[in-house]
Order: sequence, then structure tokens, then C-alpha cells
Amino acid sequence: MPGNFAEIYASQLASLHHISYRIAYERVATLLGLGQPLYVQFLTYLHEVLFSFPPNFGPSFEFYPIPAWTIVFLALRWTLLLLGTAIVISLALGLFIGIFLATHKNKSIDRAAQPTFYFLNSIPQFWLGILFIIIFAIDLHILPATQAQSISANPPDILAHMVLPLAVIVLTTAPGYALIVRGAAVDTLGSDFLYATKAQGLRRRRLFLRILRNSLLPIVTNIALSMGYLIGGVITVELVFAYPGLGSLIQSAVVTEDYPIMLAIFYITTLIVLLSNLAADLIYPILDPRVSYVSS
Amino acid sequence: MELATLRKRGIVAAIVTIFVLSIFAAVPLALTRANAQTTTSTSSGRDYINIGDLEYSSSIAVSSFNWFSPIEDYDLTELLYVGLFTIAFPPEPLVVPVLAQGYSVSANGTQSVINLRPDLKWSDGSPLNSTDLWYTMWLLNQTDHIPPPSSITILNSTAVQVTFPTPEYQFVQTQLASFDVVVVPYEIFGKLPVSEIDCTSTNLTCYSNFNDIVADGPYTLSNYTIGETPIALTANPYYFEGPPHLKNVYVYLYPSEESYVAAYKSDQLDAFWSYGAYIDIAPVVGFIDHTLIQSIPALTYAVLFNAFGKNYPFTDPSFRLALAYATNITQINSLENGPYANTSSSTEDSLIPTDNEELGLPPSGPIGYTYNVTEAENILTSNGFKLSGGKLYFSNGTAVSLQLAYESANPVSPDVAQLLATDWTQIGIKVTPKAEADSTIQSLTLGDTGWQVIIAGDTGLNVFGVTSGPGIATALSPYGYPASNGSTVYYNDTVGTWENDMDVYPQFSSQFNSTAVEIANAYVTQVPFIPLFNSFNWQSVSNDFYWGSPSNYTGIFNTQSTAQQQFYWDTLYQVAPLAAPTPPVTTTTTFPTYSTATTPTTTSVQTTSSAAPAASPAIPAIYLYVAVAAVIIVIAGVAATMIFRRRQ
Repeated sequence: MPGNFAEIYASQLASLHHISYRIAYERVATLLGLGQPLYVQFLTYLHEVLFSFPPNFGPSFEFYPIPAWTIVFLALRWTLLLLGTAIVISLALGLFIGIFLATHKNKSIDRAAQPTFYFLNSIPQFWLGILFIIIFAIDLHILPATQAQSISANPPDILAHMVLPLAVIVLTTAPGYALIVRGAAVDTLGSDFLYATKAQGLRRRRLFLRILRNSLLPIVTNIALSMGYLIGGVITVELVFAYPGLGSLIQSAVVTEDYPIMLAIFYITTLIVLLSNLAADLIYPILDPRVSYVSS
Repeated sequence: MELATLRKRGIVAAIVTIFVLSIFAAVPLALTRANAQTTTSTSSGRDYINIGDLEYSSSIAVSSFNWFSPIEDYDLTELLYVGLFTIAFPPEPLVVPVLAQGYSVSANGTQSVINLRPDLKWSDGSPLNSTDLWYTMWLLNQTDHIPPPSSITILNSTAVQVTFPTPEYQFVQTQLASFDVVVVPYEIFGKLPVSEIDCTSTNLTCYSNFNDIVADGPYTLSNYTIGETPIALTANPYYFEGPPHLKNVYVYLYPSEESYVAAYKSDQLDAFWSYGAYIDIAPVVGFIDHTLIQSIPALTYAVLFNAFGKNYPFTDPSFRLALAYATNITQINSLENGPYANTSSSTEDSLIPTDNEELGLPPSGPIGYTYNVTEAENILTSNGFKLSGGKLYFSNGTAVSLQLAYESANPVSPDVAQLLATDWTQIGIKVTPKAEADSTIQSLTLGDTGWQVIIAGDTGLNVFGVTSGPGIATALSPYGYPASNGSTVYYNDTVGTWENDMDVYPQFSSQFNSTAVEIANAYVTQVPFIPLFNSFNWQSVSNDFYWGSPSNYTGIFNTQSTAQQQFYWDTLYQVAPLAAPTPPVTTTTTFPTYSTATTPTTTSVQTTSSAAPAASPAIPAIYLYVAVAAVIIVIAGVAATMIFRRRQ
């Protein structure tokens, strides 16, 4: 594994304090408890991560001695704001456009939309981000190119900073959702239960909701499974827009070999993926009564 | 329900969704536009400035504002605290007092008296006097920043005397000015344990100086929350040069060069700063409403060798010399510094020609390897290497290869590595470039394993011949030379002697001069590194912003430029006032190679700099890309439609 904080910190101490590197390293080794047996160091680390709240990953190398978790938590707020908003909008757009296309199956708009959506879905987010910055920020000067807020950090200001990164994420993820929903809705529209429901004389609004609910199942699965991919994707978007979220943080952590920060981010990303999968499993029975976790 | 009805519902739902989302996007859009218009209309009268700072290593927060912390954020700390002295470049004297009024050294070199300016105040209005200076000197000693003094004495309310057991003629220059030592408030720092101040506490506590900062710089910290930008700074009413005219400075941190450039080009920032080669600043050049300023040198880029121990052939000076001759420095310099290459030629001699002559050196300094592949081959073949079939072999028949490490985050390094690989391949060496993290490069050079050749930028390399300092130790300490008894003597020891000699003799005394010449000769004969080119501090500043008028001194320039001076590592200190707001003015301050001129020149040109070619307009190309993408989408849609129809 490249990088060694003790060596880096010792070299900084040595050059700043005009002391020999060896003396500086001994100080750092004492400071970090490196004299203990390796297994003791590892068990101490595990204990601190698993049995502390919040998890203690130790001090960040770059922001020493601020705990890595504190730094990650600060960045997480912005990522959740961006990613959460993006998922909600993408989901809403995907659902309505998907159902719309399903109801227009094989019509011109449906035929044109499908390849277009595949194309949009395959556009690299960083490329679209750069394009948007050049057009909307540098050329037209109508939206901020970077950062999450400016001097007046009020909600409209934060929203203005969010528009471009949000648009990039939504434009590249919503088409995928729309295609999934379209497929599910086409199946639903052709299913027997829908004819039976119509025959029962159910009100239109409730009928629409049933189609919606049945079309939701695959997309819930997709969101849960792709949560890791979404977080990975948002990293590149954050980098392009200098958005101060997990993406920017992990980039700087990799560059500076700040392992506590990296581990904390991987930990929380894993946690989010696991929890979203659990949430998807719990939502299934609500959306589809045929799914039940209670044994008959 | 009919399918048609369902369709209608779907259409209505889609329209409503799009409408709601449009409002969602339009509100902030309109507000941003309104803000942008306000900014433009009041650009000449606003009391704040937006500045960016490229933080490769800390994208969301600054690490510390404590000068004594190894992880302090230098750029921002320098905005808050003023150095006692700073290092200037010719023709300015080398040591320039800033917060200090001056200094004196006793005839025997053991006593230095440092005088503060009178009537200094901290940002909270309390007096800044010799008690603070005395405490700072005490703290510098406690934290191993200065050689141990025998006493530190307060002479009066502004003067402190530091006495050393042995002569320290260069104390102010090498220990205070070179490191931009600042004075810290005794009332604040004095209440903290030293181990917490220098971050060596065993309980992992480290004073970050984030809250209630009492400082003496042009600005004080008015609002900082870790993880949030911008960082807000407010004018210090007690600043020794008078409160800055700009009441507020907002600092944005950027994790990448690309996002920093985008922010500047989109007018989110009023000033763009970069230290490096010209290619680093090139992306923002070409905007006629911006002014490009080239200021003092930053880093000297050089090739360093791992000549520790038995790392043959790097321990062989003739091999290093051959590589130096095989390196096309002019080409590398031209690529990296473009139109400014003539002011950025490779030299690690920062002396003016008269100083060189006083040392007994040629006016242009001692170093100069002319690109000559044949000479390189001759040196190699006459020292036991064999050239055959375009490949270089050791005397035992093994092919010569080397690994060239470079800093991955540095935009300059990959290009240079590639050029060096091409150059050295011409003399038959197989070169493998390898990207490494900056911190890895730093730690590798401290050890003798894991590396062979490294491209690095170092400020220490250009202090040669002037003073002892980290540069000499960094550059020469790994290199050994044969002693008369056949053993190898390492410069580690010699450098220590040299440093001692440079400190114990007055500057330009005969002993001082002979030591300087000895060091110069060591550079020439031992080739401890191959100098490549100098980089510079650059600023591109927006002409939309009112930078001040030379006639009534209402803007940020000259003395008032200290706000920038601190922020940009002293770079605007010597920059003439900019006319504002139109016509566009390009002010270029250049520091030529001293082999061709003796003094720096400052030029103001009423046009875009001819030396800085305008970048080709990017917008048409982008629209072309968009148009191509649109055509592809349409073609794909039509093709898909036709395919589907045929299938049906």
C-alpha cells in the first residue's frame, strides 16, 4: 500500500522544526502508538470503528488531528443533498415519462425516445458537466460553475449552485429509469389483472395508481442495486463542479493518501448500499402484496 | 378505463412535472442572473473580492491557521499574519522587513537585535509589542525552529535581542525571512502548552487556531466553518499599513485546476492565481478583459538522483553529467513556459551578476549544461559504458535502464517526464516514467530505497551561492565523493561544514565567498541535480473589477496590495497599479535571467500581451460538439424508427 502517514508527517516535522528525520519519526511513532504489536494496533482500530459512536477512524492525515469521520460527515451533507434531490427528480421523471412511453408504445415518439434515452444514459457525466459549465456558466453566465454556495448562503443560492450538477445527474440517470418503467408499464398494460380491474369499473385515478405501483417494483430494485454506482457517479460530477461532497473529498484523500478518510468513505458508502437494499426489501411487500415475509 | 384516457393522463402528468421542475430551476436561475447583473453594475464600487485558491490536497477545508502546526494552510495563514521579514528578489535587498522595522547584527555575529515597527496593534486593538516578539522567539526555540540561543532579552517596547553562543550572521535571513516567521500573540498562545502548539502532544491535541483569531495581517477571519466555503475575511482596522480598502475577501477552495479555471472564466472569481510553468496559467490566457501578471519565481524544477549508498550508476558523477548533456533543457523549458521561456531559463543562481563576480564566479553563475548528445555519449563510453545498436550497456553487458518518478498531481511533471524519457532514450537508456503521489515523492527523497530518478520542484534549489539553507542540504546531501584515502565522503557532512561556514562568517567576507565558490564548484563537478526550468507566480485578474487608481490610491495596489501580497506569496508586492476598468491593460513584471540583464523590468502595455498569445475561442468548438451530438441523436432516432417500422 503506497504512502505512510508517519513518514510524511515526520518529514514535515523534520523540515519545519529543523530536526533530523529519524528524531521526527520517533516522535510520530510514539504519538501514533506504532510501537505496539501489529495485532494490538489492528484490534484497537476495529474496536474504535465498531463500538464507538460515531465510528472512530482516527484522525485524518490531511486535516490532522480532526477525526476523519467529522470531515466525511461534513462532506456527506452535500452529497446527500445533491444525490437525494437527483434521485427524487430522476425517479419522478422516469416514472411519468416511462408510463407515457408505454401508453404510446410503438408510436413515433416512443420509437424516437428509446434510442435517444439509451444515448443520454451512456453519456459520461463528467463530459456533460464540462459542456454545461462552458455553455451555461462561461458563455451565458446564467449559472454558477462551481462550489455549493456563495457569500449569501441562502436556499436560492444553494439551489442555483445545484442546478448544473443536478441537471447532469438527472439527464444521465432519468432516461435509464424511464426505460425500465416503460418496460414494466408495457407488461402491466397488457396483463390480465388490468383488464379485470377495468371490468370491475375501478375509478380512473385508482387504475392509474395501480399501473404506477406495479411499474415501481423494478425501479425500486434498480435504485437499491445501483446505489453504489450512483454514489460513484456523483463523485465525478462533484469533481467537475468542485462540489464539496464525498466525491471531492475522496479525490483529495486519494491524492494525499489519507487512508482514514478513504476508509470512512468506503464504510459509509457500504452502509448506504446495504441500507438501501434493506429498504428495498422492506418496500416490496408494500408495493406488491404477493411478496410477504410472514410465513403462511 | 380507455387507453386514450390513460395517455391523456400521462401527458398531463408529464407536462405538470416538467412545469414544476422548470419553476424549481427557474427561481434560482433568475436570482443568479439578478445577482450577476448587480455584480456587474457595481463592479467598480463593491467592497469585496472573490479569490480562489487551488488546494490539491484539501478540497473542502483548510487544515489549520496555526503557523507552528506542520499542517497549517500557508496561503491563508499568511493572509492573517504578517511575516517579520520576507525574502525579496534583485534589485531589492534580499531581506526586506515587513512587520519588523529592521535588524542589526553585532560585529562578532552572536547578537541579533530585531526591531518592531512602533505602535503596532493586534486585530482586537491590543498592543503588539516586544513581549509578543520575545514570546515568539522563545516559542521558535522551544519548537526547534531556530538554533538554541543563550538568551532572549527584551530591550524596550519594540526591540528584542537574541544572543547565540556561536556566530549566527545569517540568522535573520535563513531562520526568520526564509521561513516567513510571524509573530504570534502571547496572550493567546502563551496559555497553551508548546506540544499542543506544534502538534507533538502525546494526547493528539493540536491547536488549529480556528476560533477567535487575534492576528496582525490585513484581514481577520470573520466566518469559517470547517467544510464550508467561501471562507470570509474582514479588513483588520488595526493593520499596520492602514485598513485595506476592500472590506471583505472571500476565499473559495478548489480541488482541481479544471474547476478553478471554470470558476474564474465564469466570473465567479475576480482573480486567478497559479504558481508553476506558463502552461499552468495558459488555460485562462486569452481573455481580453483580464490581465496576466507574471511575478517572482516560484519553484525550480530539476532532476534529482538517488545517489545514496551503492546505487550505481547514479553514484557516478560522470553518468549524471552525461544525462545532463543529454537533456534538452531548452526544449523542455519552451514547452513548459511557452512565450515566457526566455525569462524562465533554467538557473539555480538567484544572485545578481555583481554578486557572482564578487564571489569570483562568472556573472551568469557557474552552471550550464549545453545540450549535446555526442558529448554525453563520449562521457559514457570513456567511463566504461558501451553503446551498441542504439542501446547503452554497463561494462558487464547489462542494459542500462532507469525509473523516472514524477508527481502525479502536478500538471507540469508528466510532460517533462515524457520529454526526458525521449531525450535519454537517444543515448540508449531505457526510461520508465512512473507517477507517484506528491507526498510519496517527498518521502522517497528522504530515503535511499524505492526510487532512482525523480523530477521535483523545489524552492530550495535556487538559494545556491547565497546562503545556507534547506536547498543545499536537499540537493547535495545524498551525494558522495571519493576521499584521498579511497573511502567515500558524503556531502551530508560537508554540507554541515559549509552551512556552519556560511553562518559564522559575515556575508561577502573572504571566508564566506570561498565557501560559496566551493559549493558552486561542487554543483558543477558533482551534478547533484539537472536544473530544468524555473516556474513563476502568476495572476490573472479580472479587468471588470476596479483594482484602483494610481492617482488617488483608492484601490488595491502598492501598499494596499499587501492583501494580495500575503495571499499570493508576496507576488503582487512589486506590481504596479493597474488602470481600471478599460482599456484592458497587461502588466507584466518579469525577472530575466541574470546572464542577460542585471535588473528586472516592469512593463505596462495597453493591449493584450504580445507574449501571451490569445487562446483560440472555445465556444464555437463547443457548439460544434453540441451540433454534432444533436445530429447523431436525430440520425439514431430516425434509424431506430425505420428499423422498428420494418420489423412491424
